[in-house]
Amino acid sequence: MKLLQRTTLYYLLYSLFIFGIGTILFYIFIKIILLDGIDEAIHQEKVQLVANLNYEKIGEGLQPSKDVLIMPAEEVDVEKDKYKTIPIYDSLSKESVDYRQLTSYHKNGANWYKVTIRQPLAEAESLLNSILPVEIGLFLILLGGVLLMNRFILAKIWQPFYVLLDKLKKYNLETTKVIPYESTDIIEFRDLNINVEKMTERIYKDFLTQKEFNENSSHEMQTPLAIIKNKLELIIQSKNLTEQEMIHIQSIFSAVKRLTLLNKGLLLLSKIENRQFTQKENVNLGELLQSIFNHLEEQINDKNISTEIEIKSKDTLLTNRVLIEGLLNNLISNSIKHNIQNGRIMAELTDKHFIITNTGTALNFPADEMFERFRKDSAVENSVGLGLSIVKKICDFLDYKIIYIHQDGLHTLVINF
Amino acid sequence: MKVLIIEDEKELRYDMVSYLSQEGFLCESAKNYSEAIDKIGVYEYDCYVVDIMLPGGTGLDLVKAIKSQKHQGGIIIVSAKNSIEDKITGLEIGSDDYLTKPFHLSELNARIKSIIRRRSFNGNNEIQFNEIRILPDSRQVYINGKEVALTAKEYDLLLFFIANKGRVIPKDSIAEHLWGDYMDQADSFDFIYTHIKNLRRKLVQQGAKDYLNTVYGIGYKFQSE
Repeated sequence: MKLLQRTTLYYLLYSLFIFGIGTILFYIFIKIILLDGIDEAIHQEKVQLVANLNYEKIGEGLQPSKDVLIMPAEEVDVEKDKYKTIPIYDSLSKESVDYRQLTSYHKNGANWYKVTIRQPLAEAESLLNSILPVEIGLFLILLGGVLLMNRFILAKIWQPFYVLLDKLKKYNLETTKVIPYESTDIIEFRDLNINVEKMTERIYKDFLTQKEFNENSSHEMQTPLAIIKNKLELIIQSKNLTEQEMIHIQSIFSAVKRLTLLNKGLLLLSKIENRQFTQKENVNLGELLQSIFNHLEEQINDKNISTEIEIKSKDTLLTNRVLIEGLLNNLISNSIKHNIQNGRIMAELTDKHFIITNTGTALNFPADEMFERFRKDSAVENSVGLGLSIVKKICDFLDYKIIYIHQDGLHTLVINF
Repeated sequence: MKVLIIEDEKELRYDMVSYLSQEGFLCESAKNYSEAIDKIGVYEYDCYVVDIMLPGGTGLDLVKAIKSQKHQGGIIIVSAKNSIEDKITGLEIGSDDYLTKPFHLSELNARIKSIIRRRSFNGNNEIQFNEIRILPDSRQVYINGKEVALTAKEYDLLLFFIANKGRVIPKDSIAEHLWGDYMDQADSFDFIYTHIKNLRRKLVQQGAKDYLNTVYGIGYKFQSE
């Protein structure tokens, strides 16, 4: 539920409640006041009537007007003045009409008289009955007002918030860098904007530091690696090495090789992050794919892997050659490295996608972690765990979509260009 | 054959000079831009090994300086950056080859020899190693005058061995030489062994002596003894 909908809903619930209670209370109060007024009027009428009464004429009863009745009464029946509302059937309009009636007893000499005065309530009732429509009308106007207020005024007030939200949604360290502070006259939003700016600045700084660290450390590692490699090559020219020493040297060679690979991978990643591969050219992916498979022929034969390569694309793709080469090379190398003896590799290339499927053992970690750095299959010894994160980075950079599927012991990676 | 090595890192400079001197090259070295400019101004070399990042200037400017003096020697650029731009710029302004740190000395040695060979004989040359004769232009190999049919990889392997004859060559140097960047992801050197076995068999079958020695655990050595 949206913020505006939620606040509107609460407003409406509250006003409905207040209007409901208000209407009932208002109705009751008005009714009491109206009846009091009518009672007072009948009482005055009675006082006047009694004062001017000509007792001789009463006899068996007297009705000076339609709403006044004076009758002789017995003493035992005498009561205090009594007001009540009674319905009386009107034969003219054929419906019963409410009357307010006062019954009062008076003594003249030794005789008691009963005075009954009544007054129709029709006017008062119509007044009362008009309260509800007026209240409902007011409520509807309020409702409309609230909705309009929310629509226009609140939407305007919250606008800086939505602008910021939109910026945060689109936030990308490589393109946006920092979300700049935008002035607004609402203190909370100003605070929010200021703090978002501070926060993104800090994030961007950390990002740069990390990027720089990656780049510098991998650069700085190359010279020491070169020295180790070269010294080893000089050492192995010696004729006096024992077998044991040679085995140690070979171990150092492979360790250096792994470090070199790791280093190259990190350098490539940081170069992609630094957007150093923006040049595009037309690349014939079919030829590229074939040449990579040819280069890796020995490794494929070594595991006795059968390959089925289907190239359905005749067109070239406008892309960065270095990156697309790295992408395909990594994917194909991976499909060999993580394959089984006598396994299979199926590759399909069309204008829209590249699909590579290979046999292999199941992953020993969750599939959604497979593109993370240093995530690797512990069964493969010489892996540095950067291949797929390079693949992912390249795909992100070139705006390609990559999907991993594992089914029936087959690993499939789909790249949508 | 005179080689000028321009490298600011003392140890690397020392190693290159040491390895190449044993190959019979006359090595000189420069540790920074101005020292290199001085040497280039006075002498001419058969090959220049130029590091791109130098104190006082860049290797690319040095390549331009060498070219502007009309020196005939070959130029190999060495870079820690592994960046395609440097490689392309380097080749465009007239360098002959490009190596990324860390590289194997045996690889550098093979590249220098190949450049010097191409330059000094104008490509019209041949390599003779006892009974083995190689024509690099047509990639043909003859043993005692009879042609041996080698695969591309076997041929490259043989040339690499002969360039580094008498030296122990580590296995991953061979792998890198044959497969270059595609070796990056390889998890086994077993298939190198297959190529070496095939090469050895073909050479011996055609009457060559078995010059290939396996150096236990480390690699191989190609020598006449």
